[in-house]
Amino acid sequence: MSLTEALKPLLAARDQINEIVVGKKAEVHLALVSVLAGGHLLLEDLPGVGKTTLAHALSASLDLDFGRVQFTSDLLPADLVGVSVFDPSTRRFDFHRGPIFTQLLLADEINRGTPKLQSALLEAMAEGQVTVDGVSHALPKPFIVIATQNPIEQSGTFALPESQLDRFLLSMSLGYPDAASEKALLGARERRQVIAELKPKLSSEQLLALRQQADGLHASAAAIEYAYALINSTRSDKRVRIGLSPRAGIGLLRAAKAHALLAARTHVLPEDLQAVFVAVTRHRLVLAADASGDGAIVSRDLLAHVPIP
Amino acid sequence: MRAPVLSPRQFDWLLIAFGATLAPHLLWLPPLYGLMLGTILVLRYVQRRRYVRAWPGWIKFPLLIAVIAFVIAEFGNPLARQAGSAALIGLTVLKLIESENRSDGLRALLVCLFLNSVQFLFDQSLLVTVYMLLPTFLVFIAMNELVAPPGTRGGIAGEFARIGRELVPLLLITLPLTAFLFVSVPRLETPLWGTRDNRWEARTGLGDEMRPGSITELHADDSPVMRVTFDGPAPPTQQMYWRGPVLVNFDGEVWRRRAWPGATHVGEIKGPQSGGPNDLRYEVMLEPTDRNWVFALDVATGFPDGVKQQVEGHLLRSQRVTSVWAYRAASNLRASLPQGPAPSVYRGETLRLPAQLNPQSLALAQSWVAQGADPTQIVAQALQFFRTQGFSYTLVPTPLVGRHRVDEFLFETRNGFCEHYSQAFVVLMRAAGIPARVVTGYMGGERSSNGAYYIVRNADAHAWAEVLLSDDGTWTRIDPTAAVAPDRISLGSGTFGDDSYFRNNHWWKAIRLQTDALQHWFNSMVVRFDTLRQREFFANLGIDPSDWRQLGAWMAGGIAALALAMSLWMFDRRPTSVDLAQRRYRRFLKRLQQLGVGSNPAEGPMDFAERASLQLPHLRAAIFAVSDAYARLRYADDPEAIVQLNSALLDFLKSAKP
Repeated sequence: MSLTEALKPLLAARDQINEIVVGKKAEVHLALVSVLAGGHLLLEDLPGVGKTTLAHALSASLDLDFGRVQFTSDLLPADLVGVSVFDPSTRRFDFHRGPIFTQLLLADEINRGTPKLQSALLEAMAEGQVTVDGVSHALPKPFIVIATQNPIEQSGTFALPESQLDRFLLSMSLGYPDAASEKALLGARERRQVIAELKPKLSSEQLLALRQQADGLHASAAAIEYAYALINSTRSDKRVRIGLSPRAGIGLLRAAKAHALLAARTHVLPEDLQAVFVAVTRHRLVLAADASGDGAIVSRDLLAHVPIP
Repeated sequence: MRAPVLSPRQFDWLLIAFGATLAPHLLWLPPLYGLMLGTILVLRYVQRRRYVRAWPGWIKFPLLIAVIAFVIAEFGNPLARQAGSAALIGLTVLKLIESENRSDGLRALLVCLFLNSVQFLFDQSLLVTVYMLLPTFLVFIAMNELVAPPGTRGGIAGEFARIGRELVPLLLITLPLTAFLFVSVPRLETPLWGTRDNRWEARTGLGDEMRPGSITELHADDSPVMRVTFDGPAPPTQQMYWRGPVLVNFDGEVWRRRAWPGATHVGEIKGPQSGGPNDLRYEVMLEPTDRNWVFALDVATGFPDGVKQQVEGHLLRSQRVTSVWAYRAASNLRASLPQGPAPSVYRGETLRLPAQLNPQSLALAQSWVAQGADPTQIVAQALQFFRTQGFSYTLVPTPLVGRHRVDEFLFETRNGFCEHYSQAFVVLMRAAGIPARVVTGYMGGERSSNGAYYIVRNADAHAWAEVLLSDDGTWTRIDPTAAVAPDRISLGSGTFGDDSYFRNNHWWKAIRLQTDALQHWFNSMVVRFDTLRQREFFANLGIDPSDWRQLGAWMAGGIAALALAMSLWMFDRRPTSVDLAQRRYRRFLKRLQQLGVGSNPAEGPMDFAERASLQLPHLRAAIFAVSDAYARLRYADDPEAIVQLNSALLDFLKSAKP
């Protein structure tokens, strides 16, 4: 089967999502890149711009179980991962799975959860398993977390530690739709109803196979050199206090490979690295105290200045 | 569309490289000329820094005229070595005036490399050779700077790292080729510069003439004339009489070599001569003198090909010595020179005195004859006269100005150095009817720091006399200076008659000898490799260098083998197809630039192709063909794509004419 053919269901899923989340083609594309690269996605945005809709549409189109947890400061880790309960009839502890046991988890307003809760999620994201009472329970495959946080409202929130931010492969913000899309949205049917009617376009087995293919994509020495130049530029820039970690570098290349695969290419171009660079770096860069702008602005500036070797 | 304009930084590098190249030439360039060129360069630098506008085109013409006029006025013949080099330097400065873009700059740098080698026409010493590495290296750095893509320059540390990474290996791999060319390129038998500009090339050293009383500079010149390595133990220095020109004709003021037509070649012995079995053997490394004289100890019995011994016993080479020249010689220190085949003619010449000059001297000599003394006694009386009549040895003698200069010296001033004494002695002998002549040359030598060789300096220049004591005898050496100042002969010039602090300072002497040893080593290793050694080298390989086919085959084979080794090395270092891809792609970018689509180093090839296609829609297919092939080569590591890249580039260049 040729690559183009193997990609067809995924591209069909993309088109379907684009019909639901209107006017956000680039963001939908990045979300798919994240899924294909086996990473987790962080959405930083105001409420009501379509974060949940995107997550729903993704799970429906890709045939993934969907779970949703609204993070609050009184939510306990056990509420997320599950709890062991003594069963008198069998005289044993049974593990009751929490909502995390799903293929696509929407962690809403993740920065409202306590650090304890956040670190429970962290382990799950990093290891693909949860440990309760010393017993490890594997999470389903694929396991994808889409977390959202409101960048404006900061009262009563716990800022995510850098180590946890580093676990998200990509981050992006959706923003308001353009005028035409928003008017279309106003005139259209209720989203939930539409999503409920969506048909999955590919199975999770197919998705996992594509993931494997993306992982094995060829990155030439020249591409790797450019990736390194990009990563290294964040470490010497005056505006940045903490540059990218080697893990971020690995993530950059993985995301670029997924991006190349989506374009039905078998090798990574500088353009692939450029397409994902801002999404990979914007939440990871810790800016210097006197730097203006945010991570995304610095990233875009670096992209425009680092020469391609 | 022209080549990219030089950035201020690139221009600075250009000036630095040229400045370093120019510096050693300033040693021989006329100061005024150097000043003029320096002023032009400074003005150019200020203009480039402060003003955007280039110099107006018409200004170059008067400057060109000025340079050429200066060279002709200063040097005369504009085709001779110094004039030609001076003109080339001037023209390079003018080139820098109009160098605004990269290709101009690179051309100027190439000329700088040539100027670096021109320097060796003037000086081949070790010091200069070592120094020349600096400007050469700076020129390469500047070249590297000029061709580097913009925005890839780091700070000083990054720059050094880059030089170490890119430039040094590149220069190192050229070394074998350089060495091969050094041993293989045929040496010229005759000097490269046939014409000589007398005014500028008169070197201090022994000339063909002697004018006692007019010069003393010779003795102040410490520079080495030759370095001598003896095969066996060296003779004592007071026996080292290095015979140079023998002077016979005297007009009352100037001593000259014999010059009478028809007899020039009488009694000449042609080299090569091997010398007797018990003779002293040695190798002389002669510094360039720009004359034909070949120096050997008395009496020379062995000398190389191309050298002849005239009847006076001195040696002459068929060509002037214009670069360091090594030759082997043999001498018999106990022998004395025979009269040669035509004594009757020669005898008359060695008795002739200018008419009506120096009557007092003549009278003195005749008084000895009148006493009935034989020639041996007359010699003794003359030496006794020098010893007892208050004569002194000095390097700063009272100038002799009158008509009767010998009289003046013998009866009035009574101070002088070897030239005065040998002249006066020979005049006295001739007046007494004893054939006599003046021999010039060098006396003694300084032992090198490790004792391996002897250094003979210009300060060791000496003049002595030879007399014929009986009609059928041989020439006897008499050194009248020894009668006056025995120390000059036994201790050498280095310690005598000079109270300069440096000359006698122990440390200074040691340093001088050490540096001389280095220079000698350099001469023996590198400079000594002349035509003769090259011929020996080829003979060992079984090649006849005079057969151009054999030589051509050897050169072609050697260069091909080295080029192969170099390319294998480079091939091994990085996949050439990628390099090739980069080159092709740059060609593509250049043409698009000419068409008004500038590239951005931070832009990917496909994005750039898209942008270029938007500006040049009719070339869309061609642009994408090149970009696709390039991306496949560089990012998919598909070596086959080079074929597509080549043909796509050709198509593109054909359809995209600027």
